[in-house]
Amino acid sequence: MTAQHKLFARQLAKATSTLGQIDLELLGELVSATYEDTDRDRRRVDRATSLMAAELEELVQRREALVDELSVQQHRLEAALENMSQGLCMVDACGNLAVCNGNFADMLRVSADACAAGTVFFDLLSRSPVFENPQSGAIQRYATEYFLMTCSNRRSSLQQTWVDGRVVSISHQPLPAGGFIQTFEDVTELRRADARIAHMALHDPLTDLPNRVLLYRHLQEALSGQPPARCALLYVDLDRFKTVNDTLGHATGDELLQQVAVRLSGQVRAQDTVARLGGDEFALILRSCAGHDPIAALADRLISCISRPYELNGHEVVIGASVGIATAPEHASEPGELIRFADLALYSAKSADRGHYCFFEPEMEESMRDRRTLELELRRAITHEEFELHYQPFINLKPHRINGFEALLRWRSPTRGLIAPDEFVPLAEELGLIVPIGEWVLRQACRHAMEWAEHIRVAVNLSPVQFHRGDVAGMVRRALKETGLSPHRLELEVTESLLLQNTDTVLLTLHQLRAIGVSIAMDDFGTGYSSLSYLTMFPFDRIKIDRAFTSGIDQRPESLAVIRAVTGMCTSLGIVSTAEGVETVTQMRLLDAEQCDEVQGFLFSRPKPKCDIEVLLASWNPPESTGTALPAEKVVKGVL
Amino acid sequence: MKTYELCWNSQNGWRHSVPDAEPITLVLYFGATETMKDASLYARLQTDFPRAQILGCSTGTHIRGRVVEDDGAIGVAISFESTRVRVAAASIGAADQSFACGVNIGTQLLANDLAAVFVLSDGLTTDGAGLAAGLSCVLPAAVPVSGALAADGARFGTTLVGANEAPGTGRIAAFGLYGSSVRCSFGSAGGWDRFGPLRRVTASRGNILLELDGEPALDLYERYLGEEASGLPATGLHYPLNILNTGDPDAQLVRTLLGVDRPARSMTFAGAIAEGSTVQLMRGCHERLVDGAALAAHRALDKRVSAPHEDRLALLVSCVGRRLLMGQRCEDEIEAVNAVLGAQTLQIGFYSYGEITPGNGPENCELQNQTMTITCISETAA
Repeated sequence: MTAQHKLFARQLAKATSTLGQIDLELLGELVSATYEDTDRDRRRVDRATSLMAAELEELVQRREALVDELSVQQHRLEAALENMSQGLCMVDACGNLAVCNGNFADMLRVSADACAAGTVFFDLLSRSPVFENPQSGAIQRYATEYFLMTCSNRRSSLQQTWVDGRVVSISHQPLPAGGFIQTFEDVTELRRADARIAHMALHDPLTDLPNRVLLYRHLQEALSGQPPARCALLYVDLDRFKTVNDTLGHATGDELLQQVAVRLSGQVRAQDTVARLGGDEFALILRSCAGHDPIAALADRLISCISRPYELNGHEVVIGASVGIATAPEHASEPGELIRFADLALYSAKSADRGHYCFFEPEMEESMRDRRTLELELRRAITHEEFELHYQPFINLKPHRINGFEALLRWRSPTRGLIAPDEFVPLAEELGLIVPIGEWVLRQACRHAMEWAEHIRVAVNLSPVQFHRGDVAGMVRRALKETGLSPHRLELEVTESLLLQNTDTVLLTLHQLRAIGVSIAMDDFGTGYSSLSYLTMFPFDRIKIDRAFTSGIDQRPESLAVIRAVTGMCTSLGIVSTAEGVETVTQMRLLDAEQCDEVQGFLFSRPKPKCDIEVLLASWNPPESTGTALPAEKVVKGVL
Repeated sequence: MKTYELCWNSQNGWRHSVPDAEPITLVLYFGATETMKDASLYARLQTDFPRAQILGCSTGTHIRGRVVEDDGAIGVAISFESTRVRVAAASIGAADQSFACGVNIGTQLLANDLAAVFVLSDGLTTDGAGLAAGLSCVLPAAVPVSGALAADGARFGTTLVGANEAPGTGRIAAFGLYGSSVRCSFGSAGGWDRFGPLRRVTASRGNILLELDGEPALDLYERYLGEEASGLPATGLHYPLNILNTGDPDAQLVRTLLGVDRPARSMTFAGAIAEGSTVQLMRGCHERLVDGAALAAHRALDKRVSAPHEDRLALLVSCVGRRLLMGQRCEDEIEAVNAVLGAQTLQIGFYSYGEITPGNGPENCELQNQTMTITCISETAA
């Protein structure tokens, strides 16, 4: 009999009674339950196997997606590595190269093959001609510093100049799990740029001369000795440079400055300094100079060499120079003070007569202080309205009657008394204060004229500074509008010098003024550049012949000739001519004979305050009708 | 030490051959839940062995020699020559009291000559890992602890434990063996196979597992169980969970399912499953489970002291999951154990909801699931 299955034997035993009878029903149940158990287990296994297969399939897909993603990331990483400007290497904890980019191989001048992953890093370094001389085998001196950094466990960086001249910045970053990352950056150009920037910070880009900062440093050095060394500081300012710039353009102006720089540099020794301070200002430091005379001689040479003609783009240009000089230790031993004194001396040289040099003198400081005081008072005068207007009539000769008044500015200072314009207008022009003052004058003159008869006009002088720094047309419009004065009663007087600078802009403004309806007169004709061409530039309504000609009309034939020419020209051009400074009846008669239209001068009236004008108009008697030499003097009441 | 088998069935009640004069000091008994609810079982034992400490618990299947039985009850009466026995008991109302109960029981049993502890606990309320930790917290390192969580077969309805009283719910009972004569040895092994992918515990709370790989854990079990999912949590015992120990990949920590919460899509296991840990499903193959049982016996035998066979008691605690999977073939593992321990060793035991066994680590004991765990007790001559 075949051996029974262990389970069946157990089932059979359970189904067999103690008497040996088999309970077939029980046996059937036990066997059937076993089959069911087996079936359930098989189904369970099938199901689990199938689900597990699906899960594994999904895992495989996920892994493949992950591999794809890693592959993309790998490409990105490689692209990033290869496109970074630095050389990069990563070395593992065992000292073997793990990753590097092409720039790393290039930096170290080794082949890409030599940089395979797994290469012993120090073997690679020993193959680099950067660190080891391939001929002699000698290790470069800087290599030790780099090797020590490579062995370090601390984050560090260093900069080295390699044997081939490259300046390389190396950064070393140890990794937590051992090994390190290093980056190599060629900073040669950066260092050059730094040097250039440092140079630019201390030099003038146009002339490459030291700038004001470097000049100050050199001056500090020169004065730092104990006892202080003898040295001189010369400030040089170019005369007429602005004209060159305005007429020939900035490019030519720049070229001129470069040539000036060359000429100045040619006049000094190697230990001296030539600097450009900006614009047309230069400065020189003369070290170890002995005495006044050699410095004066040098200043002469400087002015002379600068004054030689320049050939600029086909133009021959002549400029001049003024020089201010301060010396150490005579004048000062402190750089700032020496600079201030040289500047004061230059100001003095320019004020006195251009084309000269001037040594600093203590009085200059006093003069500058006075000027500062005057400036403060002038500013206060504007806010306190300390100005007033006086008027001098201009007379029509045929018939003799008052055509109008020229408004003349006076400053009634509480401390200085009544001040004439030539004492403060130049400073007001220099400071730009002439713009608000001029506007006050215009508005005041218009307001006064409104009180006079309709045929009486008022003439107001305009400064060139008003044209260059203010809105003249706008100012005139405002004044006329505010006062209600008819434009044809207002005349604006300008001088020849106005037309010397920014001619086009000035002419445009003059035409705007003409369009408003006011008259334009040229003042002091014949004193400046006296070019008749100015008369053709703009159709002036009136020309005022300077008093220098009037006073000589009865004594110098040439004065009479000039007056004749001008009046003749005015007649032919339809321009009214006015002679200034008429003081005698003879002068008046000669002018009348030369067809001069109008006269103005003490013969008729000195400038008078506004309150006297009514009286003057009421008592007006032409000089000829009285038959006396100076009839009008009768009404002069002791004013200027 | 002398051991006597006790056997109960509905027709005959308790049957045994203990001589009247035998000084029985300890009686252990295990039976079907419905049987154990009958207080007369305990009453009769108390009458028969008035000087004995009596401990018992419910099970779905008990082990009698080389046989497994689902009905009736099995027991053992022990008379020690010199070993003293002390019993401890405690009540447990919720799983989070498990650690405190462990401390309580351990404290009750503490004595200088405490040699070993065997513990039985309510199988549905107790967090076995917490109980083991509480006991380990109190007991000296040299005192091994073994035991089991009471069971209710595949029903997961009621589990009963009693010490010197009729078994009831929410009870923990333990006995301690004192003296230098007693010898205890232990063996535990599973034999389950890991299968399928490794899974990450993405959400858990104590012994409640919420999500695996971002998916409700219950979804995974239902998918694998198919039509058997309706039988959860019992059918879930087919797929215990192996918790990987990253420090020791070969060490197996297995957790068996105790209950499910379908609305919450969560599963309650016999011990804590830490969030972030890696787990893997397991399944049983009959032959390897039997091999596992034999291995447990070998381990218990390896540590035994030399003693006459008749003086040795083997308490077998196997997991209900093994019972469900192996069905009628369950006796194969009992026979395998018996073949190792020898026919003369008195072996009784039951299928539990969790096995407590002395661990390999510093703790006195740890909770195991899905294993065959054997406690051998003997006594050397005085």
